[in-house]
Amino acid sequence: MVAMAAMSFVRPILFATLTGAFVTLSAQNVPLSRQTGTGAISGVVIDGDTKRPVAGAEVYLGMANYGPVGTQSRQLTDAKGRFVYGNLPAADIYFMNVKKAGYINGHYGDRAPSASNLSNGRIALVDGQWFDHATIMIWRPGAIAGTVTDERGEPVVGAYVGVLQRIAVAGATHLAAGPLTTTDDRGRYRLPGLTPGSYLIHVPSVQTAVPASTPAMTVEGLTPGATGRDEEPPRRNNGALALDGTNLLVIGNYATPPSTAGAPQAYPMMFYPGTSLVANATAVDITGGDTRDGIDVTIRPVPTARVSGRVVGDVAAASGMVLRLVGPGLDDLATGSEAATTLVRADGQFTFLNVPAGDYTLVGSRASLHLSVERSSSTEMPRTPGELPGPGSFLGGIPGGPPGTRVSGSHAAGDVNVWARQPVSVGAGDITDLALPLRRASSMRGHIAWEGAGVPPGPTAILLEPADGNTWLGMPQSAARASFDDDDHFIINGILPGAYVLRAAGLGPPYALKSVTIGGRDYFARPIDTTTGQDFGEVVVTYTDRIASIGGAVAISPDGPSMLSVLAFPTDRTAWTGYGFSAHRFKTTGVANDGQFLIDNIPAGSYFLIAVDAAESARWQDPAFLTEAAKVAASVTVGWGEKQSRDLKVSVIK
Amino acid sequence: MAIALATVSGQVRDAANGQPVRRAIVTITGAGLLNGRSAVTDDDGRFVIGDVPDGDFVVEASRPGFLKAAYGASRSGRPGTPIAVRGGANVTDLTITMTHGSAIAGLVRDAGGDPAPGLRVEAIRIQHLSTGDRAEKLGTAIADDRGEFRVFGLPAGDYILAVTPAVIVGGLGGVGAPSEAEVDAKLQALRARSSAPQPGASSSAPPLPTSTAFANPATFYPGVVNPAEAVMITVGANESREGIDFGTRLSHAATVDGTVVSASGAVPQIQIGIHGNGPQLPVAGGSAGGPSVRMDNQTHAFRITNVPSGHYRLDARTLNVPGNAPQIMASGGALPKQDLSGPVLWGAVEFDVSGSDVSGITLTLVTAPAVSGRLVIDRAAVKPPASLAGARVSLVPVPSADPRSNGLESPITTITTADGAFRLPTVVPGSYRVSTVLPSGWWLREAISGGVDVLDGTLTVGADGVPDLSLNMSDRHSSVGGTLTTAGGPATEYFLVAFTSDRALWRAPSRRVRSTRPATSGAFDVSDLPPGEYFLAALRDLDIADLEDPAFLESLIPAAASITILEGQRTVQDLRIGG
Repeated sequence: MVAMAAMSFVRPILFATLTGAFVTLSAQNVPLSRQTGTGAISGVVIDGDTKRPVAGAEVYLGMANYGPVGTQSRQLTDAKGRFVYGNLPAADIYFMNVKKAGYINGHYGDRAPSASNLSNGRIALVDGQWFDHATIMIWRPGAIAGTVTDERGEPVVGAYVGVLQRIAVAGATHLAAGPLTTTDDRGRYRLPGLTPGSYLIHVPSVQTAVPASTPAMTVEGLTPGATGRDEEPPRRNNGALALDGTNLLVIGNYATPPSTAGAPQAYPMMFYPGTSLVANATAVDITGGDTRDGIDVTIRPVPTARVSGRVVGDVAAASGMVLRLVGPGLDDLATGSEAATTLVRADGQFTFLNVPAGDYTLVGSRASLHLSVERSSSTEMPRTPGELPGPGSFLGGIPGGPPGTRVSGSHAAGDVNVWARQPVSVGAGDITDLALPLRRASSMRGHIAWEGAGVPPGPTAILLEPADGNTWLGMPQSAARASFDDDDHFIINGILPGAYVLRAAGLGPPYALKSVTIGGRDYFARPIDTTTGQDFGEVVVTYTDRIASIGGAVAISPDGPSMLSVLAFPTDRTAWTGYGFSAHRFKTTGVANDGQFLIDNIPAGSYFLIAVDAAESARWQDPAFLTEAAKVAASVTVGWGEKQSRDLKVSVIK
Repeated sequence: MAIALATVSGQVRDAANGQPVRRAIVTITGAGLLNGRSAVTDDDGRFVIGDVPDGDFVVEASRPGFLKAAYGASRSGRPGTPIAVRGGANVTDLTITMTHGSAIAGLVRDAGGDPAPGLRVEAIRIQHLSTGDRAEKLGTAIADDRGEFRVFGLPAGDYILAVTPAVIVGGLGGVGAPSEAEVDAKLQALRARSSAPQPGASSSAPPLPTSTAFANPATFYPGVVNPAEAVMITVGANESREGIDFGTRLSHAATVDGTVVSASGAVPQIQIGIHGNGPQLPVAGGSAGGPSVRMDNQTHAFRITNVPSGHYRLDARTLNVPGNAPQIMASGGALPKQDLSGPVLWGAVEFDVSGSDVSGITLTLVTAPAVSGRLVIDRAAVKPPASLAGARVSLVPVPSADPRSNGLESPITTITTADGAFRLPTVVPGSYRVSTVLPSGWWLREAISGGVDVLDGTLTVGADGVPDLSLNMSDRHSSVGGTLTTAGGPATEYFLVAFTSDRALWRAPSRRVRSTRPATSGAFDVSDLPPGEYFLAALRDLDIADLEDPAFLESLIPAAASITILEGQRTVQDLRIGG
């Protein structure tokens, strides 16, 4: 009956349930971005390579911290690539973004293609001012294309093909996932939308085992209770090979060779040009809006082994936990990067099926954290059977990596304090009695404190970011939010041995994190060492509203770069790495057309300050750049509640 | 005690050339297997699935790029013949034929004629029935960075291609699409203002005009916004249709303003929806660039933004508040929750938009009428029940091309009292199908309203309601049954269709047009057919949708047996295929 309804010709195209909308605001309540004034901004959108105007580009005018400006914040450029915004109120926080199909999203001030706003270019208007030269450059992205064939040379249809990129996060090199696609009926794939850079192409292949008693919904990777009413149901075709009486190999998500009796085979994950190790992969370089075609990958089946064993320790707590075999160097990647996965049975036994020979890390955890770069594709890897999304799924951009870097993760249902991690070397023979010791994560208890002048902030969550960006440490956070009105305590579980930095989520302007102490020792500016596995108590996290800021003017030379950025970074060189995802002591800001800059809400401390070409503003993640920048930088020390001012000249850093 | 397990094996072949299909996933499903059990075919297309318990199983083969095929099915999409595993005996030499899917490929362009990457292209198959066309979305592709798209894995058929923005726009307010002249005029105005002696005093200057807004509705091949003007693309089996080149259109978007009023003055919480004219196709982003309705619950003013040119109907009805409904239980279990506490108000208004804004629309809510009636026991009933309490009576909204039909999605239900009386206090005018849940062993024979049996059609509720319904139920069942055989024995691969000889009653869904498949013994049975003259036909292949098509039924008559179904009797009719 459902299918009949969906096929019927007569359907309402919209049927909205209404609970109240367009609120009329009185004049004094109108936010700045909705007020009208006498300023104007006009300009042109041009192709950054050809410098020709781009017609039909969608320009968006916004105000920092407010959002869209006016009732028509978006305009399509005319045939000459022009746009005009009028009736604008005086403000110094205007920014503009541009979207055009076939181009990388652009931002006013960008001087090189970037997935996100690199320069933070902004425009300041006084009453009656017309800023008439807002030139916005946009660039065509690159593409990588090719064919996936199997060992007989036949095209592989519906195979996943993805790109990976090496990026610097928290001062260390990590692998991040980029766009993903599937091959068409000719085995062809095409990955468009790539900014200039080096890309690794891979064809993932996960050998997914589940106990034979696993419900069909779980095998499909679906969440019990999912309605299946999605407009586009996942294109899955999961079947299961019964390789013995107690385990099933889930097939259909990845290419699967026939199972020959006694000698099961699998296609291992394959990197271009033909290796299953990411270390041996050849990067494909994209320099501009070019297409690198012919990036072909051939997949070949290899003999496999079975890896079985049992978890040792709190077996009940580990029951149902997903175990993964992760190849070398792939720790930072999400679902779909494993060589094999399985589930811990209630009796603690587990079996991986069809594992190609190699060195792996066997990982068991209910918390997951992954790195990705902004992707234009909507294709997703199939979810691992048994991996239920629990509370606290998140996806967000991070300042601690290159523009466009995102972390995503979730805490699966179950005990997040149970985890396992150990190396496993798989050869030609089966492994039958692997003992996997379960370990207990540590926890942290503390409370929030208020040292401010005004009203304290609302509830906040306390979280721990891996100091070096190592995603296997996860991003544990307090289950309940700490609140000054209610309970100011917090407890964080699931802390693994390593180094973390503590941050507060939900703490926006005008509030700032002022200090972090554990047993009286300060951990605001240095990582918390958790390697001993001990629990932490007496953690005091202090907030303030007496925020610090640094402003000033940059001497603009007519011969100099047209767009400038100001960068502030700590004078303490030990803080140039290990700053986690938030990197809250590194700030870049755009210099407005009047030469003014303002770095708002920076932690109190001593900073170097430089003004550079906006195209250079993302280089701060490289400590070598900071070393050079420090030689020519101004320095400033700012205390809580202070506003410091420095006038700067433009620097050129090697 | 060991349970004997069987092995199921066979080969998958390409329907086009008989060649083996390697790397197909063959899956068997059925009771006794918690999960489907699968195997991958080898280079000779062969598969072996072990450890299969006794039972009846469907065997299906799939491979990306091919159409899914079931063992015993005449072609993709048709039901297959289940295999019977008994006593652990192996089932061997099954042959499954698969058809390679077809593809439609080409280029999509933006409103300016440039290739348009990122647009969503949807392939909607249209099946032509004599009662009208039926649409089903069978494939989606996103245009790549060159604007090229390729939808594949399609069965042969007639397709409408729709292109929509892949990313839903809207939510930020209107998008300006100024012409060159508009931009020139604005720049000129700014120049004049700048040359004024006192820039600070320019606040008295007239504000710049707002740019023309546009909507980006779904566009259909070869570049039309109205799906009725779409040109169908006919694709054969295993065909790759390439070079399809078409573009999206920008449509000037108007804003429509109006107010909801009610005859009684009070306006309750309502739901409100807008319906475009013309056929509505199952396009995912169909409303993405289309109208968006907002309503102020204080002033009861509504505003519809982003409205492309066309004819529209706006309709509204009282919001059903879940959880605020009286709990009614019947033998069938809990009813869908519905607020029956207050009168249901409804209203509808039609209007035209042609580029410019429309204001002052008034949508008047009126009280929906009641529908009442009585459940009665047929005079010829064998064993009348003591009480008629607890039977469930539902009115199921029937989608209709009639713009006056209601926009309801869910049925309205009540239960009968001991004397069989029922009353649905508020029914929004429109077309409905009468549906009942009766005591076990009873069936609904007739539903008379105004002297007409509405079971053979629909119940059309007007603004004043309908004449009382008389629902006649019986425990005497009429049916036709028999065995279907061929020279070789039971004809298990056949379908049977029993359909009335009264062509006036060949509309769907009809209780007088029914189909079944014989059991493995060849025995078949079609029960609860209303008395009358029928045809009974056997055929090798049946698409259930064809039963809605009078032309299809007409084509069955020459080879069909004529039978008479009598009140309360079982008609026996054996059929034998071939000589």
